[in-house]
Parts: sequence; structure tokens; C-alpha cells
Amino acid sequence: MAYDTASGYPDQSLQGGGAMNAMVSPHLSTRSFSVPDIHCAGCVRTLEQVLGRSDDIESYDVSLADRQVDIVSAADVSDIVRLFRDAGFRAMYRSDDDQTDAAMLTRLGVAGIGMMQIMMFASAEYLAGGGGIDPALEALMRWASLALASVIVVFAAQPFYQGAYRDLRRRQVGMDVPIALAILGAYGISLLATLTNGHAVYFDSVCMFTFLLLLGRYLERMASKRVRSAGGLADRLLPSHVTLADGQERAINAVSVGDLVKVPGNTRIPVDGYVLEGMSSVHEAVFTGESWPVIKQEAHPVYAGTFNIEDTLTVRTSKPATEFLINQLSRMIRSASQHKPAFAILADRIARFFVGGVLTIAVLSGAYWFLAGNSDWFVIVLTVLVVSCPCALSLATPIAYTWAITTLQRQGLAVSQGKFLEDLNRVTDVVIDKTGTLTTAKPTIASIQLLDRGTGKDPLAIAAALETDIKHPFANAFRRYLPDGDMTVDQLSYINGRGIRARVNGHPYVLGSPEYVSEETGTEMLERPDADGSWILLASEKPLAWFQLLDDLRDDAVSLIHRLSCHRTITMLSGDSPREASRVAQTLGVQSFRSQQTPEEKLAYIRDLQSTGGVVLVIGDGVNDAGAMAVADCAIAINPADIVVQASADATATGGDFKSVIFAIDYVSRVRRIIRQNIGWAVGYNLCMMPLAILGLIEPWTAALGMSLSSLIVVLNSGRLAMHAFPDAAIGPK
Amino acid sequence: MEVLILLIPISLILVLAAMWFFVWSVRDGQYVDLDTEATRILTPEDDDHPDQGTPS
Repeated sequence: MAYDTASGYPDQSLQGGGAMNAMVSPHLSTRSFSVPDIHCAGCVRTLEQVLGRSDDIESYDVSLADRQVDIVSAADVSDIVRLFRDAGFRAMYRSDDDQTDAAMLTRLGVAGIGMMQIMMFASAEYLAGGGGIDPALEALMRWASLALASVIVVFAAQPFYQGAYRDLRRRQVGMDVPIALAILGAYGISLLATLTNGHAVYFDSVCMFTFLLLLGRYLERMASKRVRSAGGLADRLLPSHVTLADGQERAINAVSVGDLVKVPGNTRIPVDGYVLEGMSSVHEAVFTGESWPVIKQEAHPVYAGTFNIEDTLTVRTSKPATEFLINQLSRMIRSASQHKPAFAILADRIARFFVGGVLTIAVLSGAYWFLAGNSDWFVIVLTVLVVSCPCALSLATPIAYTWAITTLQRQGLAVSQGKFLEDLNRVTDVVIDKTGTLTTAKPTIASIQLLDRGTGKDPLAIAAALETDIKHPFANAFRRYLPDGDMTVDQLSYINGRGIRARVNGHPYVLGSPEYVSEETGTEMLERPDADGSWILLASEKPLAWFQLLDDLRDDAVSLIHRLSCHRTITMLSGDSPREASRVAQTLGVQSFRSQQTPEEKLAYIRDLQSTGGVVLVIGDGVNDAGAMAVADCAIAINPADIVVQASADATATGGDFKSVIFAIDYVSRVRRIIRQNIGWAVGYNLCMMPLAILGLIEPWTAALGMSLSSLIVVLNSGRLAMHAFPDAAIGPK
Repeated sequence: MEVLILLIPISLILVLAAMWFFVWSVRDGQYVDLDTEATRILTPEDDDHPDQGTPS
């Protein structure tokens, strides 16, 4: 078929928008709340229980990595915040987020500065050894340490007490319980020792423990903030206020369906809607990666965040702000980072049992040493608590995912399903669409065969005039041949994927596949010329000319096939003729290909592969691949011509080439390796240190340092996922 | 060594001052956006992107 790549002609976009809109009923809206008090799987479970019980809330999504909860509800923001507060969680309606950042940084800084000075005092005591220091001076240093440690314990360590209090109130044990116990316990006995001139103080351990824990949490928060800012496309691109057509100012979130907005040239379109008046080119690169502007006129859909280049458009808003496509995409990107792979869920479950186990072991070993007459029994209890904190374990996966998704995005692959990182590792069969994916879908006119002189007009000029406003890859090939002026096109009708019929300067013409032309003109169908490429026929009363269109391969298609072909079978599916398909398959070295495939056949083929146990990756670009992509185990959209396609893909390559895909194939196995290292390290460390702590062989400060370093190692190890990816980091991102 | 009796309280005061200055710098918003300043030198003119709104 000549017109096989159905691309985003307005009709389809309308349908697509409608389909997405239908996911949420009109009264409900999705809102994101930042909940900084989520620290562990326990908190997530608590929240899920609370939210699940509420009648006002339709559905929710709690994310540990982002500390964020997305809620679909008809209730007021203030009601939802109250619901959180009753459960013991602070919830902020997104924009208050920066305040939390500042508060965390303040605590971290205060703990850091205080800790350094306490270390100074403590090191004097360590160096001098027992009795090597004037008792009066020693007492003075202890009091000075006490003063600083009090600031840290009372002010900086607050989040841990709040977390622990919340857990206990819910009759659960989260990670904050042993942490708070350890901090308060060690501070308590040190305070006692200072007052009674006892034999040892642990102010240094308390402060180091607090500081390093805060540091781990701060780093984690900063990492997930990168994902949030990637998801916050809307905040970056959309203005906070819009001016309605009647001159009123309205906050962007208060724009309602039906509002008319005037969008002057050279500005971003602030709403999703349809053009009511005006005509202009609009740059939709944000969504489609398409670098060429699209003509928008009456009844065409426009999307918030796209850029209006030339003239003023009057747009009728068609959705509330939360349902703007750009906001939906933001949520998609964010929910990708919330995905928990199977082993992350396992790690969370282990961590949960772990905390209960740890408390028991700490109490038992304390009891044993107390009965055995060891005066340090309480110190041992504290050390066990500190050593066994499973922070590193619960950080292991979320933080690696956070880095991976950010890195892939910078490489030009926007991951919208976190599952993608897992699934890409297991792929056994790859199904690639030809037109627009392996080839550029920017065909050029290779030759013209004249059949009849017709009206004597240049057939190429007529074809170009017909194709002027058509958004189809083939149309682009003609557009450059558009003559200057003197061509009026009217009564244009376009059948997607088949052809165009219109009058040029009052003369009727038909352009499209030979089948279409013969139907429209009632003439006999012509045989296609016997040569490569796609052939399009121009006719008026009788056939006028054949146009041969050749589709170029994408630059790195060969290396993509090469990369994928190890351990995987590759099939190329094409809607094109067998001849064209085999030409491309041969050039690329693809063994198996299927031509003249309808979208339904593509889908059936993928189901077939899956039924024999295959894990299928679909790489495609057009609307005709969307079904296949939705069914596949994982799907990558290359430079999708339409926004709907992006929604059915797990990842979207925005750069228009395969570099990011080739990168991702190796990268996901690195992600898996790093996550395994993280979990291995976290579990191994806890298992090794625990017996030593129980036996009383470790000092509290060593335990504090070790436990926190263990978390930091996990954070830094995950950070390698970013470092390896940027050999050209010096040039800068983007 | 007697001087330590004086130096230790002084160190305490200095540390508390350092903490206070740090808290002040955070409240002042000095850590809010660390990336923009780093890249500012690369943009020759501020009105390079007339379509972007003012930072809020």
C-alpha cells in the first residue's frame, strides 16, 4: 500500500484525546501531594490503608521514591490534606515542596557543623586516653559536647522521632523506630554520664549517626527531585496565568472547559483545546519530537506546552488543567519512577520483618549481657540497633531506578513505565516496524513517470499543491516543489492513508494509491511500475503521472539491528509491499520480515510470539503500531508522529535516532547489576555486623559510621549509573 | 593548657555562629537553584528565551 503510515491527522488526534480523557470521569481530578514523612515501606502501607478506607478517594498511588502521593478524588485539597494529617503525615500540595527542601538542608547543615566540633572534643579524649587529660578540662569538653549534641538531638533529629511516633501510633514498626531509640538512648546515657561523671559519653556517635542518616535522606531526595523536575514539564512550560479572550486573567488551574484563550504568535499555547479561529504553524516538538512545525487551523486540536509560531489563534479549552496532555505525560513519567520491581518488593518485605527482628535481638542480647553482669549492656543494645538499621536495603532499588530513568531521559529516551527497565532485560523477540522506524519516513521523490500531458500543468506542482496541508510523511516530499502562488486548492477531501481528492484552480485531481485513484475516477486500475519504492499516482480524468518515492534508512538502523541481534530474534513488520520490505530487510541484514501487515495482523503476530513464551519488544512509530505496542511486553516509540502512540509505549526515543535505544539495551543490564550489588551489599553488611554487635565487639560510634556509610555506598553506587552514562558530561546536559 | 578553659567556650560560640549563618543562608534561598548560576555564563543575553515566564 502506498499510504501505509497513518500519521496524526487531526481526526485521529481527536479520537486519541477523547480516549485518554475517558480514563477519568469529569468530577474527579488527579492531584499530587508531596508527603515528606514517607520513609519506608511501613509508611507506604500505613498511608495506603488510610487512603483505602476513605470514601472520598477514588484511587491513589503512593510513591516511596518521590515521597509523593497521587490522588484521584473529587474532594477539596484541604480535605485531603486533613486526611493525611489525621494519619500523622504532613502533606503538601506540591508547591510547598521547596520549604521541605530548605528544612531538610537546615537540619543537615546544623547536624554537620555540630558534629564536626563534637568530633574535635571527642578526638582529644581518644588521643589522651584514660586519665591522660585534666579531669576539669574533660568535664568542660563533655559539657560543651552536651550543649552541641542537644541542639542536634532536639532540632536536627526531629524527623526520626516524628517517623517513629507515627509508626508506633499505628502499631507498626518502621525503620525510624530503631533509629529514634538509638539516638535518644545514646543521648540519654551520655547525658547521665556527664551529670554523674560516668565513664563514657557517646555524643560523637549520636551526632555522626544523625548527620549521616540525614545526609543519606537528603541525597536520596535530591536524586528523586531530578525525576520530579523531569515530570514537572508543565510547570516549566506553562505560564501561571492565562488571559482569556474576553480580557480576564485566570490562573492556569482555574481555566475551565469552554474558556476561550487568545494565543498570540511566538508564545506557548497554555491550554489543551481546539482552534476556533485563526491559522498558524505550531511546534509540537515537546510531544512528538517532530522538528517541523504543524499547520493548525479551525477545529484542529492544540496542546498546552506546544509553541505557536506565527499568528494569533483563538483556542477553545477542551479539558480542565489537570487533564492537559502535558500534565498526563508528567504523571506518566513520574509514575514510571514509582514502579517497584519484584525484588524491590521483596527487599521491602525483608526490611519490614527485619525491623521487628532487630528490636527482638537487641532486647534479647541486652537481657543476656545484663544477666551476665556486663555493665555495658545498654551500650550493646544501642549498638545492635544502630548496626542493623536496614536503610541501605530499602534505598537499594528506588535510588538506582531514579538515576536510571533520569539518565535515560538525558540520553533521549523518556521512560514512562518503570517496568520497562526490568522487561528490556528479558526480551527474546524484537518486532520492528519498518516505515518511520527503521526508515526515516521522510521519503524523497526519486523519479517521475509522465503518462499524459493533461492540462499542460506541471504534475509535480499540482501534487505539491494538493499535499500542502496534509500531515503525512509523503506530503513532506512534495511540499518543497510547491510553486510560487497561482494555485488555489478547494473542496479538498483526504482519506487517511489512501489519497487526496481536490480541485486545483477549479480542475479536479486525485492523488494516491492506484486503487484509490481508480475508485475515485472510475477508471481502470493501473499496474505499479516494476521498481523499488512506493508509487503514487496523480490523475484527473485520466492518469497523469507516477511519482516514485524512496524511503531512506535511519542512520544507525544497521547498528541497532546488530546490537539487538545477539540472543534475540528480530522480525521486521511492514505495511509495505513485499518488494520494498525485502529491500530494507536485506540492507539491514534482518532475516525475517513480514510485509503488507495490517495493524491487526501485527497484533496477532505478537500474541503468537508471546504464546510460545517469548518476551516481545516492539519498536514502532505510527498509530498503526499503537495496538502492537500496547500488547507487547515492552515498547519503544521512535519519534512518534502522534501523541497517542507515546501513550501506548513504555519509552519514547525523542532524538529521532536509535542512539538512545542502543544505549538503553546495554544500560538496563547495568541497572540490574547495580541493583543486585546494592542489595547484596546491604544484606551482607547487616548479616556480618550483627553478630559482632551482639557480642559487644563494636563501639557505638563504629556502628553509626558503618551503618551510615553502608547507606552512602548504596547511594553512591547507584550514582555510578549516571556517571558512566556521560562520557561527554563536560559539554553539559541537553 | 589553662587557655583551653577559655578556648572551648569560644569554640562553642563560633560553632553556634556558624550554625546561625548557615540557617540564615538557607532561609535566604541561597541553595534553591544551584544550576542556573553555573550555566549563566553560557547564555550571552538574558532575553535569549523570550517565551519563558519569570521564575516564581
